Amino acid sequence: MINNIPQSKAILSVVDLTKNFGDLHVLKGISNTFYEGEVVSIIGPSGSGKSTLIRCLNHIEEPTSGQIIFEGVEITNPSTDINAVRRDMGMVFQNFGLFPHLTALENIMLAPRKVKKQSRDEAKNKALKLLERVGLSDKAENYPEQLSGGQQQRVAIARSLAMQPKVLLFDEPTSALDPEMVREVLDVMMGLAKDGMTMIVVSHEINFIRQASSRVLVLVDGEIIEDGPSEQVIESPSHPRTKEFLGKLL
Amino acid sequence: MRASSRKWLHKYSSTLITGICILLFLVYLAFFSGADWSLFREQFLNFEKMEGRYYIFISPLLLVVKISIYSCFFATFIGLCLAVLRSYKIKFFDVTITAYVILFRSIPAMVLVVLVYFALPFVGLNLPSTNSVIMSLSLLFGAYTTEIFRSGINSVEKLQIEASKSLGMNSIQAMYHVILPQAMRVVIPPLTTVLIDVLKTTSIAYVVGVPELIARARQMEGVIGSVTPLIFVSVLYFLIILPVVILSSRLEKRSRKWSNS
Repeated sequence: MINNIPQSKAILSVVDLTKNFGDLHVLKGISNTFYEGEVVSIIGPSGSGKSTLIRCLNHIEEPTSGQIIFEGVEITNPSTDINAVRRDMGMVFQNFGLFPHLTALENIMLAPRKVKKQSRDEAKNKALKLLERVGLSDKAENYPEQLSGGQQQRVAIARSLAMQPKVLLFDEPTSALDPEMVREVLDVMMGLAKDGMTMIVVSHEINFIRQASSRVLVLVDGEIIEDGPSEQVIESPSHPRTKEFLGKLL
Repeated sequence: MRASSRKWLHKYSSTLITGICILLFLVYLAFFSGADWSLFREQFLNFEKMEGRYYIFISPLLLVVKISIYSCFFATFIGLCLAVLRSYKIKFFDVTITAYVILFRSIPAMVLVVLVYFALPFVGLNLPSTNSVIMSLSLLFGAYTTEIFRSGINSVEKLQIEASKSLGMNSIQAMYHVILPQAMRVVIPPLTTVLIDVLKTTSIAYVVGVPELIARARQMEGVIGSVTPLIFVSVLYFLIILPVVILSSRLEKRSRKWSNS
């Protein structure tokens, strides 16, 4: 177990968050606080609103109502410069979202150069270090199409890290991968958890939850029905819906 | 040596067969169809009569090149700007740009040239004839390029925008560094078609008295009593268009270097 005891400093708070798609109520009043250094897994049956929730956290999806406060800044406030906030919040997508016209190295360098205005050399040095960290030093000059799914996802993680985010959001990072590639991505994620990165992860990878996650949120029908330490939620869930869901998963 | 020549044969065999068929057809036309070719030659390929008159085409050729370059530039510029504006899905831009596209795609080129040249002076805008042609062609073909760039931008998947945003890019940075480079791959072939069309449509400039190639050729046609000048001018057009085609295929290859498909 890593980061079993959350540090006291709250980094991201969600207050009574709702999201409707037309008549469909996807999130029905979510409230939670995420602490620095925590690794929180969000699980739940498909259609429960997990992806919508994590996409609301960095405002890629606009919430219908409620507040999201990141490091004291209310990002749900329309006058907040959301682009500035997003620099500190990385996101890793299910389908990687690498830029296909750029090499792995250029993918990682783009945002630091254009958003943080780093020099070419500085961005390149950092990008090469990040590629080494995810074990892809030899793929720097390859385009995404020349990489396997697992390699693409690792480049995508490196790309997020290049902005030195204070929190990393993962939206089902291993769901689009072939089974034999899941491991390599999870290894990178576990390495990050060990290094103390604050992570919020939508994932059903039970191994990751057991080994790296400090807390689990169970989302069913747009509501958090259970919130507790990973071991407790996985081994002895209190809510019948959690039991039912975990029964299918394990 | 033999292996490489066999490879060459294999690679170009279909082109070779097509070429031989065309050649056989021409031989049939020339020797077996019974047509009077001396008359044909006199009508269409009478270069003897054109001798000493070629210089007449120099200044119209330069004029056509000038009008083409400006019109292609502005048409592309208009299309790019309007398509980017439309992609932000602001109601006002959406309505006005759609109206512009519908309107200018349905106006005949000749009518627009006449209107710009003869009607704009009534609102105090006196354009020289060459400039009014450039303006007309830019506006007309800008409507086409707007649609081409729009479909190019739409072809980039939404995840690309989300990924850009999640890295802290603003919408202009995302458009410039992520969306447009990918859109180019889709845009270049149809854009080339339209730009070639711009080159050829410069010929309607004659309606406002611009001394361009077709107008000069038709004048000469009357003088020498042969259609040969038109054939000659076609060759000139081909020579203008060739570099555009080569450039576009280069650009297309470059825009595809990152993709296997």
